[in-house]
Amino acid sequence: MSSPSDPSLKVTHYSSEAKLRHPVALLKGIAEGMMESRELAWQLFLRDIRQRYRQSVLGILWVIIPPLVTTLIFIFLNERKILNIAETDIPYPIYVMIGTLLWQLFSESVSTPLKQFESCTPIMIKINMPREAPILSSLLQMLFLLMIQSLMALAAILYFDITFTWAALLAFPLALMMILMGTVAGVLLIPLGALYKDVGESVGILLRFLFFLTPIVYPPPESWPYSLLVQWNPVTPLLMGARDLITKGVVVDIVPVLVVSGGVVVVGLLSLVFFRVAVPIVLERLGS
Amino acid sequence: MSEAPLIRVDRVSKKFCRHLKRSLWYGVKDVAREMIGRERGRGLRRDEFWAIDDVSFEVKRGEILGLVGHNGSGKTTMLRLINGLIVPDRGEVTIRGRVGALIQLGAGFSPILSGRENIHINGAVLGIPTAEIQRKLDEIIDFADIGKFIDAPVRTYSSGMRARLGFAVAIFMNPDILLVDEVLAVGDLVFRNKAMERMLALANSGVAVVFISHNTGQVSRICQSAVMLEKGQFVAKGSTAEILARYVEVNQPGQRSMLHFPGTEQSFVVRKAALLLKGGQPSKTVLSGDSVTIQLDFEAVKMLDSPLFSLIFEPEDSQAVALLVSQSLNADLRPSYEAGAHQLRVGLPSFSLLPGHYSLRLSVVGLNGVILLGRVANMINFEVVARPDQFNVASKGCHVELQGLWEGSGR
Repeated sequence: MSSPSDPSLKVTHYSSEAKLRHPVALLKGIAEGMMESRELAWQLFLRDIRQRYRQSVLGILWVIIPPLVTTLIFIFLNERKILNIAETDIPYPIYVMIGTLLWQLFSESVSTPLKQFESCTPIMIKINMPREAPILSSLLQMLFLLMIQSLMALAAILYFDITFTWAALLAFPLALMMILMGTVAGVLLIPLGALYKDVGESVGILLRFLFFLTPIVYPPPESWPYSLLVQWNPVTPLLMGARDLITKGVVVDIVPVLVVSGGVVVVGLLSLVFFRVAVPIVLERLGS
Repeated sequence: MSEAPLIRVDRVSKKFCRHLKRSLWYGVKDVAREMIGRERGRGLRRDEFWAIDDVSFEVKRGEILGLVGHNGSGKTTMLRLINGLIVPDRGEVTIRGRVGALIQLGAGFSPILSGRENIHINGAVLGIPTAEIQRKLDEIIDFADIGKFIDAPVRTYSSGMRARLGFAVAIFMNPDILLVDEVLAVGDLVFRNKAMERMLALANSGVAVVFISHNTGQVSRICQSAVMLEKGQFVAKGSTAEILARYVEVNQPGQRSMLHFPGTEQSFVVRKAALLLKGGQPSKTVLSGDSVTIQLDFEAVKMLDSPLFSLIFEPEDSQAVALLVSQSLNADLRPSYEAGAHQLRVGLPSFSLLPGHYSLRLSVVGLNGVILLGRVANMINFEVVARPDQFNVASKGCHVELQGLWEGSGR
């Protein structure tokens, strides 16, 4: 028995035509991919959290141990005058600690999307799952990290007897922007990083280098040319802004924060387009 | 007006690269090309070849299509094109509706997490809404039938249990198009039959199914139509029986080689063993029910005194299923073989093995029927294919078709 075509069925075409030639369909695809990814991203997030901590005694404490150790190292180095760090306007321990936490948030946002993508490749080359899911689940992991970090920061604030102001809560949007900035960088790395392992390896080294180009463990230098490095570093305004809000209740300079945030949003949209176009090609290469 | 097909493959070609590093570099170049809005190159670059070359066919609602072809003929690539995992380099694939794939059971399973937790992950990977999984959870656990193991980490599971759990989740997909690749090769017979029934039920409800299996027996049991590919090219589309008959014409080289196991001492060596079709030509593929001759050329190392030859037929996936013993059990009536070259032929007027892959084993015992002179495993590896008129639905799990004289009082 023949019946007329069922209009409710979604029609999909696969051909060699470049996706950029149909920008509307491309953007629609990105939006749909995001929507379809939600449940899967949540499940992947739960899976990763559970599997990471189920086989460990300290469990979730491993989230805060690395920044804690970094903080302690720099406190020690500074107190013994092994490093010559300029005077900070707030107690050095809290300065380093908040800085390190924010840096951890950024650097993990950069490296996690590629790791997530790689953990999903064995599935993605066999099953047509929404490709944006690894990005979303990486974002969820970062939000989870931020949640735990907030508790740690709160404990530090109480311990060092810093006056808590409601303005400190404004640090959250800045922290979220740092996550977003890191994730955008991470997403841009995925296509090449999935093809060549060299990318993942060098990102770790670059991030370590960038750690010292950002005023995390030292106050921003005033003297030229070092001041340039820090000023032109897009992480600086967000990190300093968030730290100042938490510890002093003020953002020193709002303009760079807005400029950087605007840039993150624009580059972020472009990164999604790049991801959509590049990932099918990359997966083909990995799966055959 | 007839309904548009759910799958339309229109003059599709796909190229692959043999060289890993070069393949990665081509990937980078292709990404760069696409980012400036240019189409991918249509010609072959160095080390590339056409894995699929100008293939077209359609699959309608409720149709179960078998993709048939030898190793490397492009069946899996074709399935991945339909699934949207790879994009054609030429031509177009048009899909109407949701695609579900029974390709890797238990995708995304985490070994440390429990079966119950993994149901949710696997469900999400297959695109089943979480709410649906939650609602059907008891049903899934029942279907998987793995008892208390459901709360144990998946790494403690046997491979059969993993497959059952994966399948239990996968059947709750609600696709318009179902792609099946070799998954029915795992698990026990009960599981395979359950899986096959599910596939037939889906097709009855209007789902288009594309099915790949090396087991032509399975293909002939469930598919109404088939497409045959050879070296990436389309050979034919037609009814399963027609296509499988064509498949017979193209001989398949045996993958496993003959293995000699001497008895107390080496007493004979098989030089050549073959199945001969009616016309006398050797073949690795035969039609079920056809007339076949088994021919052995062997060399007796020493005098073989009234040996008894037994030929044992072993299907790929189970124990031996049929036995053929030479001449009389009475040693006096059996010929002896002097040292030297000899030939032995066995004619089988109606070869009653059912479709599937088999291998033939030879066992030779001496005069008294006790002393083993030698065994030869994998003497001939061959495939039995369904004949066009064969009643093939009810052969589930059976390997031999008996011939009977039927009488009934019905009118």
